[in-house]
Amino acid sequence: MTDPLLAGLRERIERYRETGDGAAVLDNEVELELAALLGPNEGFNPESYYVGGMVHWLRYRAGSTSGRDLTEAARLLALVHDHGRGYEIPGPLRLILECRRAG
Amino acid sequence: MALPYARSIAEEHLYMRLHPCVCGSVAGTGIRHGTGVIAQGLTSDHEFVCKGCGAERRFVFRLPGLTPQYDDMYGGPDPSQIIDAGEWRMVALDAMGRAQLLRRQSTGVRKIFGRGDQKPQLRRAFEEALASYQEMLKFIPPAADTIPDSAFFTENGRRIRAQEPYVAFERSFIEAMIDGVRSDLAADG
Repeated sequence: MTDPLLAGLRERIERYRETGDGAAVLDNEVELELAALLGPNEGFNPESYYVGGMVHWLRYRAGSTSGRDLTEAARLLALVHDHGRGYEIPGPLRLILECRRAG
Repeated sequence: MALPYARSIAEEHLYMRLHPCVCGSVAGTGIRHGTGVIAQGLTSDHEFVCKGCGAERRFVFRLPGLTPQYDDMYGGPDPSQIIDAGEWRMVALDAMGRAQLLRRQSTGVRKIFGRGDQKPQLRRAFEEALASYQEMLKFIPPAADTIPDSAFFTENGRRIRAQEPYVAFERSFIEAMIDGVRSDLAADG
């Protein structure tokens, strides 16, 4: 069941955007929630990939020490950019993805 | 904490069976399991490599704080939070189908070629069907006759509800199925 999981992660994204509190996306339980969301490897789901990608991106922006957050954000949001519709990709990543498409 | 809440180990394993890899396989090798402590209880973490395509797979669950003792196969009196009513219907049908197959294999030509005693598997299939129908009933509020919309909280479950006859999710039908499976268990299990 991904719905409560997605809702919980969306709430973290909102909390970080509203308060700038890094703990919203950096606490240890977020890693478990991301693993529960994407770990089963059930295939591309735009909503799951977008929320997962955004949490990884915000963790990177909030100063995560894991180098994996940026690469995971880029991997997930690239798929959303290419195959999803109506998702707002963060500016810096979108620019890279659009350059990649153009090149 | 929004981690999927599993009431029992049996429910964890059933959940993983219901969520195949993108390649279609549910089997894994190199299985690693760990438990952890979080603010709201315990976690159970399964990691393995998909036998079908070699992808890394991981399932993380939140567990009850203490190891519960249930009479039911999958959980206590409360309905599942991770497997919805439609999925329980599918598990019940799958188990009943398996039971029919085992029943045929234990008679007739196949018996001559000696497939061994299949009674334990037959009993297991009936017990799984019985438990799955009981899980469906847990979603029905005391004063209601049918499973409410809110009990179909997965895409898979909603698809199954759309495919199955409406009566399949009514209390009287589910109770009749439970009686039937109990009779089968008494006769063959």
